[in-house]
Amino acid sequence: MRQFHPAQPLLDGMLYLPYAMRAGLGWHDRRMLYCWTREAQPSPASQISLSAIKPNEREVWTLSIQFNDRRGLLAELTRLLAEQHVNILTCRSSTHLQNLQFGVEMEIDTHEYHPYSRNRDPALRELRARIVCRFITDLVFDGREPQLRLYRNRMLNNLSDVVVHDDARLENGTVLLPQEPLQALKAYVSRHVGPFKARSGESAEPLVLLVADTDAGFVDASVYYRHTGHIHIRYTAEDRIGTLQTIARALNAFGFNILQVYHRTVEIGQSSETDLFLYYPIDDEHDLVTDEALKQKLRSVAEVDSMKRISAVFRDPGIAQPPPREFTWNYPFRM
Amino acid sequence: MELSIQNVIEEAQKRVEERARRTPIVDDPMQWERRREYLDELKASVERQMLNTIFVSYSSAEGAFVFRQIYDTLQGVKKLTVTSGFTTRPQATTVVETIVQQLERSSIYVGIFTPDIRIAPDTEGVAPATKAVSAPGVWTLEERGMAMALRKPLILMVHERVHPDFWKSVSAQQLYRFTRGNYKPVAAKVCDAVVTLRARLAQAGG
Repeated sequence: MRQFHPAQPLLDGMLYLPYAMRAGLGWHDRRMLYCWTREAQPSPASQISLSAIKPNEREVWTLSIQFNDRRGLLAELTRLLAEQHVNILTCRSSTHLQNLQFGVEMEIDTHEYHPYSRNRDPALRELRARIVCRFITDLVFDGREPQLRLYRNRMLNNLSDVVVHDDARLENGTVLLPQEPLQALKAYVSRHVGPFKARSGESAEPLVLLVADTDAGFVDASVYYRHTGHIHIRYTAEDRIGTLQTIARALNAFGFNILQVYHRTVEIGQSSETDLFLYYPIDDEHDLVTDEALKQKLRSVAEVDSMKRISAVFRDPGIAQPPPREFTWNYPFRM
Repeated sequence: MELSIQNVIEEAQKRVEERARRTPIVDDPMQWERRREYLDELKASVERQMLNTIFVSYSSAEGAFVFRQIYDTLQGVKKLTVTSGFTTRPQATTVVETIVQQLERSSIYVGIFTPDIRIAPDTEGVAPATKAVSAPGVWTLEERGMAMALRKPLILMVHERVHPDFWKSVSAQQLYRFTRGNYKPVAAKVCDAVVTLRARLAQAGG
C-alpha cells in the first residue's frame, strides 16, 4: 500500500516520518535506515529513498499465506524455511474469522536459498511448491489456487546505479537525511531556476513530500523548492465515473507532469478528493512563473469541467514535526 | 538429506487422500478435489521442468572446454537447462548432497570423461599397447554412479586416452569417442543425441 503525507519544510535535513508510515513499515525508534538515490544525470536526484534493508544487499521476497488455523503452523513453516536456508527478516501473523484462519506475512531473504534453484527458477517455484505440499491440508484455497503469494521485492533487489549515502538512525520519528544530495540539489536549483535566486528566508527552505510503499518497505522523500514549478494541490469533486480522468486530461493539456496522485472517494456517489503533486517545467523562458501563477493555472483546470463540480484547494506545508508530547500524567491533579 | 520435490508432492498427495477418507465432507464438498487437482498439475509442471534439465558431468580444464561447447548449444540454442556438479550450493550442504539434488532434478546424465589421472598399466617394463592409459576425474565417476542409481539415462563422451575399464562395462544409451582435435563436432553430435533422447522421454512420459 502507498501512504502519503503532506509537504513539510526540511529544516537542517531533519525529516519527520509520521507515525502511520512508521507503523506501516514496521520502523521502530532506533532503527537504522539506509538513505539512497539513483544516479541522475544531468540534474541531481531530487528524490531520496529510505529503507531498513540496504538495496542490493539481500534477495528480499514477500511471502503471504492464509491457513486454516491449527496449533503448530508457525513452527512448521519456520522449520521448512530454515531447512531451505531462507532467512526470515520480518514476520507478521494473526488469526482471523473467529480464530478459524491464520494469516502469515513475511519478508524473507532468499540469498542463501539453494542458489542453483534460484538461478534456474527465478520465480522460486520449487520453494513455493514445497510450502504448498507441506501444508496442503491446511492452506485456504481460493477457487483452484491456494492462498499463497510469493513475490520478489521489486525495489530493493537489482537496482542499477544506486548510490547508498550515510545510514541514519530513526530517533523520535525523525531521521537526518544525507547532506550531499541535498546540497547538490540546492546548488542545481540556485543555478538553474530564476525565481529561486531572489528568494531567501522561508521561501528558500526546501520542502519534502513523503510517499511510503509499505509492501516494498521504503519511503520516497521528494525534495523541492517553492517557485520551481513544483506544487501540491487538492481537487474536490463529485464521485462519478471519469472524475480522475477529467482532472488528468486537463492537467496534461495544461502542460503539467503528475508526480504523485492520491485519489479517494469520500462518500460513494457523492464526493471525492484528489491530492496531486505536480511539476510544471520551468526553463529560462518561463522564469517568471511563481507558485501564484501556477495556482492560477491550476484553478483554471477545475473550470474545464462543464458542470463546475471540481474545485481546487492549495495546502500550505505542514510543520516538520509535531511538538514533543509533554509528560502530563499529573495534569488532572494539578490545582 | 532432503526429499526431492517429486517425493514431496507424492507425500502431499497421500496426505490429501488420507484426510479425504477421514474427514467427512460438510460444507465444502470440493475442498479435497481442488487439492488433488492442484497437486496433479504441480507434479506435471515439475516433471516438465525436470525433462528440460540436463546434468553434464566434467572435470579438469580440458573437460571445461568441452562442457562450454555443450552448454552453449543446449542452454543457448536448444533452450534447455544445463546443470553440473560445479553449480553453487548453499553453505550448509555437502558436495554429494548438491550433486544428488541436481541429478534428481535432471532427466539425462551426460558424462565428459577426460584423461585426468595417469594410471600405471600392468605391463612392467613393457610399453603399453594402447594410448588409453588414463582415468577420468573421480567426481565424474561418482556422479555417473549416482545417475545410474537414480535411473537416469546416460550419454558418455569419452576421450580416446581414457582406459576402457572406466566406460566399457557401463551400458550407456550412447557413447561418443573424441580427441583434443575433434571435440567440437563430437560435442555437437552429443547435443543432438540429448535433444533426441529428451524428445523420446517426453513421448514416453506424456
